[in-house]
Amino acid sequence: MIDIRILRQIYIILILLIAQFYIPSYIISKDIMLFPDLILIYLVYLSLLYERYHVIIIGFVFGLFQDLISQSNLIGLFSFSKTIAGFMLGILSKYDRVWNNKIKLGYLFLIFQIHYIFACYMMFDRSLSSIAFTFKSSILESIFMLILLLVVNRFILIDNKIIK
Amino acid sequence: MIKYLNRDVIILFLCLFLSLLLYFSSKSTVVYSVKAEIADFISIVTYPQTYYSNLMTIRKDNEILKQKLVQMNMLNSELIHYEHENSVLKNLLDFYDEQPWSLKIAKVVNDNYSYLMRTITINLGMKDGVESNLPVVDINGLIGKVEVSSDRASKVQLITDKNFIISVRVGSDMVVGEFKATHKGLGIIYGVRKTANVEVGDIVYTSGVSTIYPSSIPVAKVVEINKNNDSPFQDIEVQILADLINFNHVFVVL
Repeated sequence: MIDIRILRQIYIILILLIAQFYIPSYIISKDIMLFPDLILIYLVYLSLLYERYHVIIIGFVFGLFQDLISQSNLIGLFSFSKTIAGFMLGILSKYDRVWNNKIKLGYLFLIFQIHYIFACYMMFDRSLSSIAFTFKSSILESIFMLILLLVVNRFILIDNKIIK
Repeated sequence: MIKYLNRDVIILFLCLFLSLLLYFSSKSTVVYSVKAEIADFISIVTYPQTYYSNLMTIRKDNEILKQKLVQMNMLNSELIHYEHENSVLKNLLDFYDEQPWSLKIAKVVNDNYSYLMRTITINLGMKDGVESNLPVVDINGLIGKVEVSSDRASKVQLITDKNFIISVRVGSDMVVGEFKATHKGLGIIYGVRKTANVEVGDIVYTSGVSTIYPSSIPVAKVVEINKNNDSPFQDIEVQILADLINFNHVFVVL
């Protein structure tokens, strides 16, 4: 008999993956497009519910699914960056009651930044794009994701708010 | 806490390892560029070690090269020596072929310079047919005579020895005189009349009067003539022709 909570998680993951597949990207300049990473936001939410090693494994599995639906020629890219993000999010859950909102926001930005630095570094061909472009993209993505997280936190996560 | 940290870290590294395994198994150009950059980074990090190991290798190579250089220098010196010896032997061979006498070539194995006695030792003895009182020459002229002979070696009394006197002929008239060495490769011819026509540069030859030396062996060259004396004979100073400094090979006239 499968636990109802696990079933609920599977449904959510499936919905998120489908949404991630169809969600539009935002073009802000001729060479930079911002992709809303719903799976990363969901991983942030899960970090408050589960232990750190669960979050690491979930991050790895989600990343693997994301690789399959986004770019199948670079499998391992998002699983790598989301594993690191999962590890760092474990600290956030531990200090949830200790840190104030500003520290949490700063730390979340750091997590996003590291996540996107790895993702962009492993995604872009260095012969076509410079390392500066990688940093620029990762910073913009992190800011965009932080704003998205705040929106989700404000309007969707009613009971379990990350930023209270 | 440590237990949980270890578990988390182990899972982290496991997941990272699997992710990287999947990522680097791809044949995408992006992956190749990442691989290249990682290789560059590793080469930068390991540069001091590589530099040090290269330095050690260079040091070893340097030592080997130094050894080789010494060996080559020694070989070179040996070759130069052989070249010189070859040239000397060629000259000796030419001399040997030109002479009417029966010659036997000998190698000088020892020399002995004292105030009165000046001798050399050669590697021919009675077993080679070399006996006492045989004349010894080099390619320039008379060197001396065999003084004592053993089975395999002989002692040669040099022309510069104080006890060495030889009958010679000099000048256009080939007048007979007696040669005696003085110092520094020089000698004096005694007993030549003032009327005899002798000039500087004339060659002095053995007279053939003696039973030891055959005639016409070059002995010396006239360097100075003095007729202003009370004696009826002129003083003739001569320079010995034989090379008395660098002994290598000599000939025994049989």
